[in-house]
Amino acid sequence: MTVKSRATRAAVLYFIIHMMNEVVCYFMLYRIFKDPAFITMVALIYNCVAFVPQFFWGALRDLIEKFKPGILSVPLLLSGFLLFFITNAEGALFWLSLVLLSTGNAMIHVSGAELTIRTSNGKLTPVAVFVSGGSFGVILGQVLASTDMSFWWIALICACMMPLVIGGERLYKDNPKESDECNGFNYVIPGRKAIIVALAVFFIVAVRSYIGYGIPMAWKKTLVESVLLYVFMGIGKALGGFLSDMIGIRKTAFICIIGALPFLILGNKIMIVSLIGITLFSMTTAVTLGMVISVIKVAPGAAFGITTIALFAGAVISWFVKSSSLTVNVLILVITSAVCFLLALYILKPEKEVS
Amino acid sequence: MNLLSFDMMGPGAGYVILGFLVIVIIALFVVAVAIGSIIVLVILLRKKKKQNEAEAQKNMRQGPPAT
Repeated sequence: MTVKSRATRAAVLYFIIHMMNEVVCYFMLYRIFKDPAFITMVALIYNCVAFVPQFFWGALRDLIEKFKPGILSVPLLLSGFLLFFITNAEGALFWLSLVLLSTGNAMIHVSGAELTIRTSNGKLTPVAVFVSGGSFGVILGQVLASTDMSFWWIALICACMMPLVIGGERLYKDNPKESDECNGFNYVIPGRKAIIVALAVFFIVAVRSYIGYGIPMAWKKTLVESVLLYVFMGIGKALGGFLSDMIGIRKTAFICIIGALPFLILGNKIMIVSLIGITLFSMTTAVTLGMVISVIKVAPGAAFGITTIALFAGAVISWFVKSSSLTVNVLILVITSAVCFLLALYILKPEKEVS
Repeated sequence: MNLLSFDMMGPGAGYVILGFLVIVIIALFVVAVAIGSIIVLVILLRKKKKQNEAEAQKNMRQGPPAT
């Protein structure tokens, strides 16, 4: 199998697995019918257990090759899901089901990131395609939860993930050492300290996660419009990786950080303009991943985990510090984008130097 | 759902206390995960360093490739 076909298979496989995983999680989350304060707490705990430990699980997978988070994830997801629906979980059982579900979610993310990064030979498209699958799954899970569909169908989808995950593990066989050790990820200017780059990436992702919640979107009122938003978000995430490989990561950083700005600001009431902005904005994912993997090549799983902790940090800040003023949100958007772009310029190699 | 019932403190007080507890638990959880991950990363870096040293020694013993 060639490096390219291995990377393509890994990307397609984990696009599907990631989507299925999010369908399972969001189907359960959107079937929790309680008061808003309780739902906020559920969202906080779910995001915390799903996002934060990815750093730990990723580091553990980098250290112990025989540790297979993907294989462990499916029983965890399924047990959490079934515990919730079969026992109509309340109290401690409910929280247990939520922790099982979110731990399974964390492990599937780590598994997908490891495979798509380690088989890509330094390209960003595979990991970006894997990440994009989540957006489609999130909205599909929400839509299915709003229908009267039986939870058994979703449990079946969850069980079907197992053979796919096993198939993914088989792609490691005969993977070239160069690719496995992430030697192709050389997107950072030599001499930049790993800790500085990691902190900068953390800052950029946290800020983008925070402002993502403050983007003015007065047009989003119906279910169809929400679906479109997630679809374009998914397209943007995949496009970020593709463009980075095609035209270079620095140009992509410019397009997704600065190029997105006018569309996001002017798209408050015009859906299509806003969707273009969201697509460009979502492309940042691949850029930040490229940056952080380049400085932590020995631990790509942990590198991926840094970005997920930052996502959680941004979400938490947005829950506690929220502005409903359009002017303030636009100002935050412009200032933080400028800072993020300057950081990206400081870290990323010009295109002609990337090998 | 009455997770905590503090009737004398008025409606919603249970959630305030529970919310505070959740935030404390989450903060402790994040710190614990960060410490655990850093320990694992340090072990990983030491392992890689040893591997590289062993490889370098092996190359030195073998000498330059024959031409």
